[in-house]
Amino acid sequence: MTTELIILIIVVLTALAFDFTNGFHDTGNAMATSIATGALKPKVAVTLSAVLNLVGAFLSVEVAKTVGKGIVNLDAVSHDNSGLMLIVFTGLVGGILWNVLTWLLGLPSSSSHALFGGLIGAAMAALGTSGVQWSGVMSKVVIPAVMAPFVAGLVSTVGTWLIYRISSPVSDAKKTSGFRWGQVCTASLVSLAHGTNDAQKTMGVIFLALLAAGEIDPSADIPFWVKASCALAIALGTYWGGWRIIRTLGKGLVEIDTPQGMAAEGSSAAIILTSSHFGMALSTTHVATGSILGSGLGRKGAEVRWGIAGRMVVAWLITLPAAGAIGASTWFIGHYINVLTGSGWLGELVVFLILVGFCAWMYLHSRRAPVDSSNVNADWEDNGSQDAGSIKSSKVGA
Amino acid sequence: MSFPELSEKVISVVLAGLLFGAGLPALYAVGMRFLAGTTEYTADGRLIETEGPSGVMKALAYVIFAIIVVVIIIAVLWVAKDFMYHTFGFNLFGLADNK
Repeated sequence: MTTELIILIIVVLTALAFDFTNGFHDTGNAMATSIATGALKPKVAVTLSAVLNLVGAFLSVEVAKTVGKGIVNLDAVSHDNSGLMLIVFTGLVGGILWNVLTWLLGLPSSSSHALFGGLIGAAMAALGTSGVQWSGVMSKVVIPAVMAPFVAGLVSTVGTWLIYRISSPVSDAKKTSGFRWGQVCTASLVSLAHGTNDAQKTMGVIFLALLAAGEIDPSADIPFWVKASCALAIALGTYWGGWRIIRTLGKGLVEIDTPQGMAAEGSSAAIILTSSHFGMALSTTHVATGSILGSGLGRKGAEVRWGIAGRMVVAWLITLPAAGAIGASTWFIGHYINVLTGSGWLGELVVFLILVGFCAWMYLHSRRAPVDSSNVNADWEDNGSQDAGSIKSSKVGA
Repeated sequence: MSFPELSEKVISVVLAGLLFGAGLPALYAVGMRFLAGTTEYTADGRLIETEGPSGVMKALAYVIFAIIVVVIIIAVLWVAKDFMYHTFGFNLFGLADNK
């Protein structure tokens, strides 16, 4: 086995690891409201969402081939394939580390931004500002991110208002049971949409890595094993749960009732599924959060916790630069270790160990105040703690 | 991306969102209302059903639910149109990417 092949394998595994974090980071986008209203038992919700992500990942490959293109300036590195490989690798490391950190804090930040941020940071470190296509970054990443919460918030506010108005003569019991059905259906659509969008991004990155290794023709279709492994990784991640983020979205932002839950998920599903068709692919996370906020605004007397919303906005703003900074610094570490030692793999190995080390540390940290399926719906106590969802210390859960 | 181009995209996304994302849930609420029957508030402010819906109202409600189900099925097939074309050679809506 050659060094190049070993590095390619590590990069592909890292991409799948990113896909896994993408899965658990975004479970809440689809299922948080259904879990919060009790429409679905927590375990049932994540299982359903995982299966639909798996199916969704196979349904469409529209997004996959556009990732990387138009963001990282591929022409600038095409003469040097091992260079591209290190950029992709450290970009992924930036995305994963930021995803795991925001998960630890229970913040629903965008996984797509983490991935793009990591890639942009690594590309800038390697190639300077010319390594990034800034117009692509503006039109594909920045503008959609600014628009998404407003568009989703508007649609969901209108939806919530209409639903409450139209269904006002319906008895309380019927309202709850009827909208529970609607909520489960719309949440399922969001899961499916998530699979068609987000699993694709990792497929695109693996395709990029195969290209860099010269293992595949640029015009080739995405190989089946890439599709299948990405679909599986995102489904496993979804099933694992990401309970800390589910808790923030379902309990932290707005106290959600079933009609609001349906309005929020209906809005998310419609926007995620249609926006890419209009050439403005919006981040699932930004749409879902905007929709949940909107469901609070559209219902008379509902309370929106603006403090939590503000913390999320801060997380959104810093996701791109923060993942970029991690991508860039790990690129410097990897690159200069290789340059100084003359090795073709030591740099990659050190970066890989950094990745594993930090993830293990953050996972251990999360065990101090665990959030899982048993306490995800515990009452929200706003004590300003930065740890996920202000669960009363220890005791609850395992 | 120029400003007119951008605003055109945003308006399209908002309109599609309102139509499907707010319209369909609202239509579902209309179906629910047909099923409401007669309701009244109890002394402690809860809304309870005193009489079930008539047969006609029930039928209307189920027609609405059926319409929603059909729209959702079409939407999912539309998303999967390229996949179905490549896998089964079945060009749904004649829209699949013919490559």
